[in-house]
Amino acid sequence: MPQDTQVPIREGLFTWPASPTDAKLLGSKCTDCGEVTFPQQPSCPKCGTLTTQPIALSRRGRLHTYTIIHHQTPGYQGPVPYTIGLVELPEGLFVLAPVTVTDPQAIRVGMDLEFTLETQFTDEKGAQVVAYKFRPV
Amino acid sequence: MTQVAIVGVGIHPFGRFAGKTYVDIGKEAVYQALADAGIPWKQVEAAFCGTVYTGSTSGLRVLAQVGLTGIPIVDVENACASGGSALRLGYQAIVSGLHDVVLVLGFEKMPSGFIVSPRFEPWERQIGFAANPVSFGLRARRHMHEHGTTDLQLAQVSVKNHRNGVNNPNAMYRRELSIEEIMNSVMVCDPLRLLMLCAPNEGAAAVILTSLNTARKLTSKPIIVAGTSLKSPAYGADRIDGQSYPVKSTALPITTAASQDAYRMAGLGPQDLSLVELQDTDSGSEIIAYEELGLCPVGEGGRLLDEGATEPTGRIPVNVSGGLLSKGEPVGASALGQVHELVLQLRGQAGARQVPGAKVGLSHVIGAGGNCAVTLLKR
Repeated sequence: MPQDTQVPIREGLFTWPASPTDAKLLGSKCTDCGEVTFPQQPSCPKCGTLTTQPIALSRRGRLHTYTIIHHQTPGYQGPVPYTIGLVELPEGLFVLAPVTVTDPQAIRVGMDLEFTLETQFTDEKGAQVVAYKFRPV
Repeated sequence: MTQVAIVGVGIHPFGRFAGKTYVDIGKEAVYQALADAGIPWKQVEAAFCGTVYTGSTSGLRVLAQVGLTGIPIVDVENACASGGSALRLGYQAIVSGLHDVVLVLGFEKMPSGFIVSPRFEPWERQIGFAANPVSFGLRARRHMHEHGTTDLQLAQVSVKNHRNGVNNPNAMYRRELSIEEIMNSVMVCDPLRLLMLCAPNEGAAAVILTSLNTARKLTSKPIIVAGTSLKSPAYGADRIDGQSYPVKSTALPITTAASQDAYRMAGLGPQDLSLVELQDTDSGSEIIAYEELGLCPVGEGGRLLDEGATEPTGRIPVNVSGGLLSKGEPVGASALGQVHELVLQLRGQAGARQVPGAKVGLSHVIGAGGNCAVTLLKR
């Protein structure tokens, strides 16, 4: 396998193949009540309808809350510290997502963020495993 | 409707017990509860066993040591709410008329450190979502932003609960901690530091439930289960489980929904409580639970703490047992540990921890996915 081979951390979480500047998260929109959720799911957790449609979510969002994690958590593959936030998207949902800022002085609730892709780790076959993140605008 | 009472409680201390199996730990709590109730094991008609990490039919393995009497024995796995859920099922069994004397047991033996849970998919672990304190940190940070809760208040919760734990022989940590010690402990999930988080550990607690009629024949001090509620999150409720939830929702926070249910059932309100044992997995969760249980208006949890209202001598003492912060959290047993404390308090048997004249107590547990159990006890 060539060294620059890239694979998504899981199929279906975001548009792929894609570059950090055009990738989008993929959610589901209920065909009945219109509720938008992430990640994609076959049925609606709000109303129970059994059909949903894929929807590409906005690349811009706002930080609702965050936590900077200073320890290796179970199964985590990446550098420490790292930050996990809840990002509010215009489609009316909060998504749980990594945020690129780990400096407590440089992060604040309410800051504008933009979607991006980053290599999370290199797997046992040598491929770069790509995950989604949000970074300051 | 049949009223249900607690006639016996037992506990195995919460901590680390290298030489003991979960069977050893669990059965001690059972023997103690039977002795406390003054009934033989053969009088128990059914058993509900809260446990998460011990494996299939472990309740049966514990109770086989006490005696194989052929009764139904059911393990109840509902994360940190397992013990509260088992209690609810025991309550239902008596109210239904199916059984008159029921054992509710919680026991656990867990590894230390972050809980490793198979409920997360591999990619969720790889990306860093798979640790409970991540969601605690997110909730604490948001509360600080919205309501001005401070790092010092987070530390103060831990100071209070560790001070209380000194008086509890069943607690894992029985040492006072200073603000400085807590603020200098390592950061885990900013804003939460190591000494603001509880430790998973080992322990057991047991409760004997009967109908109130039977209870009156056994004891002059039955403790009545005045209200019980068990909830999972309605869509849009506050808990983060999975990767998204809606910005706009009319769903109540789960703790609010469960406590309102229990208050309604009991015909009681927060103003009637003598003391509360609540789920302080971390100090942020305690402050938020003050508000969600209705002990104070939303946004004033920090102030309630600052005023000393939740100290043992305050208006509404919270976690006089030392809470999970000093007891540790054996998840299957934690709720019944709270109930054990409340029963001693309502009987006036809590020694150095006694809240004078305690009449009504509330137990609150909430766990993974947002499962929440609230139990109201009165004498």
